[in-house]
Amino acid sequence: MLKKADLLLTVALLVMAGIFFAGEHLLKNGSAAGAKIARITHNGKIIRIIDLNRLQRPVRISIDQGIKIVIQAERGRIRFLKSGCRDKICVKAGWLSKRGDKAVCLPSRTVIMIGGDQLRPMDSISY
Amino acid sequence: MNKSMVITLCFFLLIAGLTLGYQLRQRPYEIESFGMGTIISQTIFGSHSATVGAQVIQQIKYLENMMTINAPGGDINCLNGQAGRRSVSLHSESYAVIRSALRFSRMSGGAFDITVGPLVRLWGIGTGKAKIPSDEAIKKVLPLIDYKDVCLDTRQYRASLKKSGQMIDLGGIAKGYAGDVAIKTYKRNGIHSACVNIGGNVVTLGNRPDGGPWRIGIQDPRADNGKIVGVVKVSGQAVVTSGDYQRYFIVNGKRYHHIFNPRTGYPANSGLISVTIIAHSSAEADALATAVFVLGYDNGMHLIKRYGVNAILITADMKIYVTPGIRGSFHLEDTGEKYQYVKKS
Repeated sequence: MLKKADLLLTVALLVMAGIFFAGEHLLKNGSAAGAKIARITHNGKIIRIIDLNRLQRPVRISIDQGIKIVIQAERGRIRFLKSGCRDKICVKAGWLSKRGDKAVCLPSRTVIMIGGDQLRPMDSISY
Repeated sequence: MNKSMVITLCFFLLIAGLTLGYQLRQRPYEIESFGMGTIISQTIFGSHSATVGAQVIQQIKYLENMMTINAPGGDINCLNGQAGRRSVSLHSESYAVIRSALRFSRMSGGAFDITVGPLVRLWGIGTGKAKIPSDEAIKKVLPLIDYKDVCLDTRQYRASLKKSGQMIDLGGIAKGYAGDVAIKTYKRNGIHSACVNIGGNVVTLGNRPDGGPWRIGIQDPRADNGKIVGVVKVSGQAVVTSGDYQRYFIVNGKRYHHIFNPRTGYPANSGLISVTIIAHSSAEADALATAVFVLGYDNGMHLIKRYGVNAILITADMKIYVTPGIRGSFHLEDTGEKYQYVKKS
């Protein structure tokens, strides 16, 4: 026969396990389950955060401060579509779709990065 | 509900709270900034990481203003402006960088030389106006390239350049030094786990918060940016790479890159296309990567052994050499099987 204390103990343990797994899941996958969060920064400041997996239709983001940049995002992926910079290394980087993917436009100081640390195959690249 | 049950419940809630708190602490603070003409990415674990990250950027900008060749009023700019005339007073940081640079110059027999400024300017690689200079133009600036002409006054923190037209360029060591400064700042602020990437120079502090080493990819020198040849696992070390693919231009199928041989005045042609140094100091790794790139495989390996550091060397004939000390922590990821992994001591 279960006592009231046993029941309380069981509930407490379940709540604890729940918090543990939910927390872990949330942190691994971004802010919500199945999210793929792209972060666009300009001059070190975050200008847009997009959950790529929840995009209903493609979006374009224009940044026009000095060098003109157009970023295109679709469900599951994002890229530098156009850039007024010299070498177009950012545009050549193509679509970013995996967690940890990153593209940089150095002249315009713009970075696109897909978040989620734990699932990345590596932490940084030496070049 | 009796008293013991309330205590039990509070106990479990406390544990749950601590668990969640622990998980949140494991979450990295990641920020990209721009400085030293490149991108700086910081990954910091711990409390106040945003404040510490901002502090690091501030310090790097301070160093940049002091050490960039083009910053008017900066130490290096003033020193170059007074070349052949008089000595100038330096901040302790630029003094320390020049002093350690000269040590690397001596140890590498001049393969690493901070007086390459006139060559860097003549070739203009990475400026958008790069061109192959005439042999005469190169011969004219070669006598200006000599680290022995940098005179340091150890008592007064002053420096001078012997000949007019001489120019110090700290491009081969300043980013490395900045990486060491960043790590010191993390430590001073109680951070135990961080990774900073300053334009490809990676420096790590401690381990990842999960206790494992940091996994640092090594750029494939003959593939797009972000494609790697392998991953090296490090804890509390710097991983710095010099290669012929970072800044270059091609004329008639020949590649002219930004790492000069101070003896010839031309881009180094030593048979190496990429040199990665793994060391405890990132300034050391930065200078040695350049020196080894200029020296080539045999002389470069001597220097690597002398400093007791580890390295990954990639040769023009597509071979990858890894020093014994990191063989266990290097993992080849050459999916196209372009490279041959050579294991020899």
